[in-house]
Amino acid sequence: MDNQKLAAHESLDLHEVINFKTLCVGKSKLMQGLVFDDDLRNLMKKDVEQSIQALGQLQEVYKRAPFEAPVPENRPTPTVNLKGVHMH
Amino acid sequence: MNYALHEVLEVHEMAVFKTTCLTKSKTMKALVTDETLKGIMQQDIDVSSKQLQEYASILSNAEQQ
Amino acid sequence: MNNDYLDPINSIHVPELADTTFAMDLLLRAKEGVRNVAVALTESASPDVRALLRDQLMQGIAMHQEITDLMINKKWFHPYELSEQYKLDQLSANNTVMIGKMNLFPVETNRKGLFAQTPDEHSDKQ
Repeated sequence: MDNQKLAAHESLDLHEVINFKTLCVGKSKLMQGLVFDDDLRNLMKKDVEQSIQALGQLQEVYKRAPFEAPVPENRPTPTVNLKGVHMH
Repeated sequence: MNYALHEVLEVHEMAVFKTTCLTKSKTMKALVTDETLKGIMQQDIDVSSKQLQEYASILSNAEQQ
Repeated sequence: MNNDYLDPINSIHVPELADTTFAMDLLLRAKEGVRNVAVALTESASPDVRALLRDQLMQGIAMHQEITDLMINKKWFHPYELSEQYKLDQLSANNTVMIGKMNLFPVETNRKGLFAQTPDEHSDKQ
């Protein structure tokens, strides 16, 4: 049962949850640099730790999606237009 | 036109929901006495039937892929 | 990516990672906004409130579409090629977990002392 492929709708929900959690981790991490209150900062720290764990578990399940594919080391193609940047 | 998987699943869920709504409206209409309310329900039945057919045609297009 | 935030190797692909993350965040907020306004619309009865919410709902839907189109054009979002989307999902998750584990703020961020205070608050010291 543990190795069975996921259903289409479950996989798409996982896609949504994983992207949501990823944004949560990023936001809670970066907000730690902006926050004034130390208690709030500690809460954010705790949220990052818990979310990282949750994200790992979700990613593990997501591997059973029917459209699963080998994940490359980096993004396949550079997508941001850097032509306007001048190198000195 | 190719549909994305999430779109097809979404339309499927809406079609199921619409079907139950339509059934309910049809049954309830028979029990209602107020004429205005009856009129609105009839309108809901007409619109829902049309929408359901539109969903069905999208779903049959999707199945052909 | 490694765990050292000062290592320049980590700055490779950062513009893409940053922009995809911000775009995804914007997309989710647009989506959430549309849903919230739609719910509010089904709860409201006053004609002026409904007209306002209806306009904002349309605006929200248009904004959502614009963000979606942009993300598809930039190849940040692949609704039709799910295995491509799978790769991006796992990559963003991995990279963000890496950032989450970095010690980015080693010293305390309480910088209240940097801000001006009204003289009145210290009047007792005079």
